[in-house]
Amino acid sequence: MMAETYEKLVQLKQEGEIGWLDFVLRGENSDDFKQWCEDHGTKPCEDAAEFYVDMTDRKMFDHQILEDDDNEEWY
Amino acid sequence: MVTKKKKTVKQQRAEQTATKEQTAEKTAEVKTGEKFHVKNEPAKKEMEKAQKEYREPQMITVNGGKVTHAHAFPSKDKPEDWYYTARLDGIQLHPIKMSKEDVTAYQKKEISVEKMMEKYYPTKVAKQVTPEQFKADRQLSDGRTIDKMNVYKEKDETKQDFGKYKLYAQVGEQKISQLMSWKDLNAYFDRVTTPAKLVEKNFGERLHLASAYEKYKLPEGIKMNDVRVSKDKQNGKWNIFVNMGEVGNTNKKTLSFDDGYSLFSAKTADRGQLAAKYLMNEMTSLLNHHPAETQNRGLKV
Repeated sequence: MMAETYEKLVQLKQEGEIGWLDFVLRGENSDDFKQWCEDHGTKPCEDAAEFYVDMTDRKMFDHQILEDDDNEEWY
Repeated sequence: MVTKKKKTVKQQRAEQTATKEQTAEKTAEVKTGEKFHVKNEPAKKEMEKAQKEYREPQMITVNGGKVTHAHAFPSKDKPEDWYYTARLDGIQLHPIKMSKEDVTAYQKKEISVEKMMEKYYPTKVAKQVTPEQFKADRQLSDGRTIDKMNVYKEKDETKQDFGKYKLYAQVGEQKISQLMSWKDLNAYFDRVTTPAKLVEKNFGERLHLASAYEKYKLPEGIKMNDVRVSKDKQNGKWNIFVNMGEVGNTNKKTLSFDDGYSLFSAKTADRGQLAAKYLMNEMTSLLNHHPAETQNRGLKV
């Protein structure tokens, strides 16, 4: 099955038509995500999909930085 | 690091942003404004094409990953701030703010790509565990097994850590969760740690593991017998303090439930370790103070 475009998936996600799991599984990184889940012994689920998206987006984690994380300031 | 055959949509977006930034830098250099982009569209495409072309790796990670495009650049908004970035197997890594010392060293070409990668992307260059090792390492140092462990985002808006990632673990009847550090999140994502290591590190004291208390050591000159643990008859809680001899006593600190459990029931922590955990600064301060001065302060109290 052909992967859907990022723009289409973003639109569907914003409209609440799909969740994070569909967002990833219907995109072009579906196989990579499934491999990541397999390697980590976790099932593809909403939480895992959201985490996968967050960890591959540089803007998503600005607020996760903790005080003990030296030299890891993001912009 | 997971070997990625394709770039994620988010990474593509990040790359597009990076390309825009580079284009903006180029524009600033030639000072021709917007028209540069319009008139030089073929040149821009050529530049993008060139960027995608193969480059000799600047380093090969211990996992065989190829690092390319490693470089530092100043922030557009705050030119005094510099960021470091690179690509690993073609995947653009998040730019990370550099220390001033590293910026100077980078500009003088006194710091290698290897050192920069180790400092700013430690989990990307660290040795990965195999998927089999990752899935198998679920036994804690006291023999118990992790029944479940996962990473999740806090969805409860009433909680202070709403929207942040937390580690959840279930060990026997105990179900515990805690906010995760960025380092641990990366280590988990890049598979350079294991469930047992993550749980020991984050929940060691709550699980009353002896390994969690090994890092606490009494300062030289203080003996175990100097540490006193006493029960407050009014509230029933256990307090700890240290008799420092001539320099007086430390203040009393109330033990947490878990530390009390580790001391009295699990017997995985001793008084010395708990004194070091609760009173290290005070003990050091008292030891470093002039005895007479401390004595006077003690008399006032």
